[in-house]
Amino acid sequence: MESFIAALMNSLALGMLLFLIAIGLNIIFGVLNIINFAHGALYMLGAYITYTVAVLTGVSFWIALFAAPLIVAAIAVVIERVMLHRIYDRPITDSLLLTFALLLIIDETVRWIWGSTIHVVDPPASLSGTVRLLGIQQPVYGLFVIAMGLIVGLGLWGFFSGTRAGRVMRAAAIDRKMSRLVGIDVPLVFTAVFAFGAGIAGFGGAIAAPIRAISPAMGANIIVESFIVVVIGGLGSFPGAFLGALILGAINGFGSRYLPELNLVMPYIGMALVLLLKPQGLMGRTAS
Amino acid sequence: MMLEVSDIHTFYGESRALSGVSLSVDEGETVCLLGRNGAGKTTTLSSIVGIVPPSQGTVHFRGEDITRRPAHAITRMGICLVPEDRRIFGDLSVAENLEVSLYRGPRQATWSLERVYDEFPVIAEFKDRPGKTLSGGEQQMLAIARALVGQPELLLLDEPSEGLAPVIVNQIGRLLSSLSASTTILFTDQNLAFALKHAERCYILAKGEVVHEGPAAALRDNPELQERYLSVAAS
Repeated sequence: MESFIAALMNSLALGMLLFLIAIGLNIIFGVLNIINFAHGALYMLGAYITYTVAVLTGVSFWIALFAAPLIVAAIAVVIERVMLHRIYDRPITDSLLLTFALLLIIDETVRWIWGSTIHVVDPPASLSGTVRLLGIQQPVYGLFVIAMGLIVGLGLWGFFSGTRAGRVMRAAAIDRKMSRLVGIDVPLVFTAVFAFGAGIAGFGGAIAAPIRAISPAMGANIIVESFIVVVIGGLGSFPGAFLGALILGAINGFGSRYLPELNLVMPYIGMALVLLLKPQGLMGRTAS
Repeated sequence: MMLEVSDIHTFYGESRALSGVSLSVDEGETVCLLGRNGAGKTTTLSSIVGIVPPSQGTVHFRGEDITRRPAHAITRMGICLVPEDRRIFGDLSVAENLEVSLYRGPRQATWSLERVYDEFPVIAEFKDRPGKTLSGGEQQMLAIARALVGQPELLLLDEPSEGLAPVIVNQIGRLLSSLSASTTILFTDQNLAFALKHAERCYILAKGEVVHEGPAAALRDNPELQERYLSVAAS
């Protein structure tokens, strides 16, 4: 029982981290119709910025948690204005090539600035150590990750259903042409959406900094897992990103405990099963 | 002149849709663009609102050149289009469809959300339903209401009666009549009877050119013209 609860909490923490990446991928795909290969790289940037702000400048981790998403979002604005906005009317393969190129550029830039060695960020004192919950000692930081995932998820849900900006983004996702005809500045919305999705990835990177090794490989690792989440949940679907992240978190969390020898292939088996049974993803819609 | 379209040529890629269309709409007028399928009616409206900018010629609104303005800026100036296919935001609720379209700027606002709900009881009733669950007639009402909360000074309607049951067409007709008292309107239609009933002046387009212009009454009494360019006689 104790190991079950430990695996469950692990699964949830990992799931929430994946959710923070996958939801940004889905928001960007839903509105811009672009599959952003560079999304993992933006997450990685968030982690490196957190490292720089928290460790090198000696400022608190909490400030880094705010600064990282803002800086990543600002970088995303430049990327969108200079490059991405030129290819919205082109076939999706062009955007795959462009975002893949971006991934390589960001990766190399990270190596150039921070080097190839692994960096470590310590969690703040208030989030260190363990606390007794559900009969076992739990790492406080894991609970913090779960809470952050839930807060961001609820916040996004409130944003998209309850604010004008959120509704405008949904309108632009549904019909670009009509959005222009009701007076929505669609190019501006696209810039905002890309920065928004990137900012969430940057936040994910900041959250991940104390628990994952900060290295140039972390972007590539998470983007593969995030794509699995998106395939399982359904491309472009908000609840799908949440459900898919929980499922992949569970596959990894429980798999590493109970089926360690299959741990590496389990996510792919899960993805293959979903593709066989419901190719559009659990929450995805059939293409119309 | 409120709207002055001068000699516009518009292309879709290589293919020419308009070859030198000129027309004008005066403040307070209700004008209809007639013509067969493919004559260039929709393209003319699309060129005016900036969705398909003309490659030659100019569009002036209240004396200002708006030919190269982005579509959202033209809409915000007060030229609001109800498109032919209605294009309701299907996954947004009826209320959200109106909210994202509500004009928020310095021009005077005459259509508040409350007024729309008062004058369109159907829309008020289905406020919280997703737009896609509405019937064709209800969607047309919503599409018009959505243009109205954009506070149009010039309302453009593309085939407002198309594909609707006669009862609904009559409803849309009454709405058009009451709107025309306070708003300048330019609309297209294939339904000649409907067009002649509501327009004061008509243009006929054929193959991307204006082939006739005159008061609606003159067209009503000219079966030869109707036959040549419209193929359906007024009933």
